[in-house]
Amino acid sequence: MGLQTIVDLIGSAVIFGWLFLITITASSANREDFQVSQGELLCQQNLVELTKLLEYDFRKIGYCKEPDRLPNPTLAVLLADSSRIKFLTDLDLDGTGPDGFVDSLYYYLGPPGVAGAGNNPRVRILYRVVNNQPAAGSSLGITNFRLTYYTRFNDTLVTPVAQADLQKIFSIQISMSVENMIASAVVETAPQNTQYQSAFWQQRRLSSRNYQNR
Amino acid sequence: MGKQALLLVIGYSLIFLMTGAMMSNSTVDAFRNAMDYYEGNIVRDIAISGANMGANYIFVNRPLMNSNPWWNGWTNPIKLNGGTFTVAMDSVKDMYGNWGRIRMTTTAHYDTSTYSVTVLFHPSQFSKFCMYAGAMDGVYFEPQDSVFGPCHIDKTLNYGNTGGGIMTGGAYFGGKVTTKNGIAALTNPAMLPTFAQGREDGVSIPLSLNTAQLVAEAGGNMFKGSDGDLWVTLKDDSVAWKRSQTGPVTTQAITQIAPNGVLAIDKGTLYIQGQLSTRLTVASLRTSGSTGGTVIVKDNVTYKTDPRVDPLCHAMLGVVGYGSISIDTTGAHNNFTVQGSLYSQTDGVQVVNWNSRPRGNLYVLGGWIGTQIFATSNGTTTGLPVNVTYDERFRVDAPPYFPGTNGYEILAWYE
Repeated sequence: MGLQTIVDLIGSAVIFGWLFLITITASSANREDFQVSQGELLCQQNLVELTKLLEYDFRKIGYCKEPDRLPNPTLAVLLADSSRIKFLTDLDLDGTGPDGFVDSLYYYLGPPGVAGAGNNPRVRILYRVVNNQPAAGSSLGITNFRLTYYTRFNDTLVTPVAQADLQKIFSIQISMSVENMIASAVVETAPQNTQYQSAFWQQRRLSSRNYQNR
Repeated sequence: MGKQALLLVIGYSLIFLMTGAMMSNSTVDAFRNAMDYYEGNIVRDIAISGANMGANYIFVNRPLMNSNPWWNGWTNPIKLNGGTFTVAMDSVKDMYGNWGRIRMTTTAHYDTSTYSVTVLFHPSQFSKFCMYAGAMDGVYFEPQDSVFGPCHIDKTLNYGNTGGGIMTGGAYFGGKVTTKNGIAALTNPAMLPTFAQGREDGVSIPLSLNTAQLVAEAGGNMFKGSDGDLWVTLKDDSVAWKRSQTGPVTTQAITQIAPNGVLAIDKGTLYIQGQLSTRLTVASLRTSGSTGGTVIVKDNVTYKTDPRVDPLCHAMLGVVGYGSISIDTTGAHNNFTVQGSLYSQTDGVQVVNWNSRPRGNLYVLGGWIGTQIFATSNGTTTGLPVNVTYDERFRVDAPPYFPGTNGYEILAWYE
């Protein structure tokens, strides 16, 4: 084995190592991009699921299959605050459709930090309480849930809405932010709050047809 | 070295192919997620548009009203915004087993998505109003007046202030207000009323008493004014009646004397008082001529239990007069309660001797419907200031065969 061969071997090892490092780096970058992309996808899927649920429920404020049991739908909102609302509706509790009896539905946002929900300290649970059942809710990465109430004249009602003003609610603006529960931690140099993909949704004026039909 | 380079190139290619495929899947999933939500919105909009079109058809053509034919909906798919919708119609009962409601189901399709909207209609009746006046000639709502229920004025809603001076607020309307000709101040100064549930002008709902229907529902038990007036005392699910103030009393179950829930006299005067525990409409009609058709309330007319606190109270009273409905309780006591919806086709609700009788109070739970609104007290020393509280049940229900507005209204909207 002459000197030339040794130089060739060293040279080839260096080139191989260099190419190998590039491969590892490229693979790592790809995985990072993929994770970020997956994180955004997950975030948006969670947001869409939450949005569908909220729109489904909120559009039924004041609804009852037997209207005689809820003759005045404008009395359907029982509590209205910036991040919680309680209202009367007729829920499909057993999958066979509304039963014609009035139910109450209470949405409220829990405190930040959810045990077992990854490392995002801002994530909360949006609770959905049916009648007097125990509070139940899933996080789905919600970090912000804000309700703004408007009269039929588009005036904003101060929250919490006073009992005497509940009947003045005509439409509701829902704002919601969702973040990933687990950070895409490969971006170690990024500021803490950019490690979580986030998505924002706002329903500008949601108004239940039942709430205003009489 | 050649082999190693080749392996590296192959490795590179594999890594990029794999991550490329994963990234592509991720992008496709994200797009699908967005499209799913978008499609959901589109199909929902199509269904709601279809429901609005169907509702408009019902409002305009009023199936089964005034001999109008039934409408089967639109069973052939109608194209709209890239999708289609159909409308199905069904006649349904209310929770008490009474027919008359219509259920319209609109089903929309867009691509692979389906969405349904179900709308429940019922014939609109005048009992849905807490306060109705065909006109307010020379009368106006003062700052201390309040109406906590639906209100309609079929001309101009007048407001004003008798005393003048400083006012902190106008009359208060807690329910939706509709008028035909808008509002007008009859005094200067006058404070604009508060319309908490909004006001809609340009709405005309003329009074419409279907005398023939009430005659038909009263059937063979219809009383004739030529035989004398009709004095009725409600006794829960029975009535004690006589044909003159001192005449013999006959007591009959309401199911016997008014099997369809309508107790009526034609071309006479109906005197009424008592307590009711079932559903009944008492009517004083005028099928012809120029006399009769008046109602006189002689004493309290109440339900056996108060529907505001008793959810099982199904008692419901309608008092219908072709002419005036008078509160003529002089000689009894001074505080009176009338629970029921009062309807006067050509006149209104009046307090007899309102400007000379002892002062008291008149509490009404129900509605006050007439061609005119009349003064009931002189504001200080005589008459009966009125407190009309709306019976919330009247939003969706009505006494038997209570006069209708000849239109449908939406009771419930499910999507």
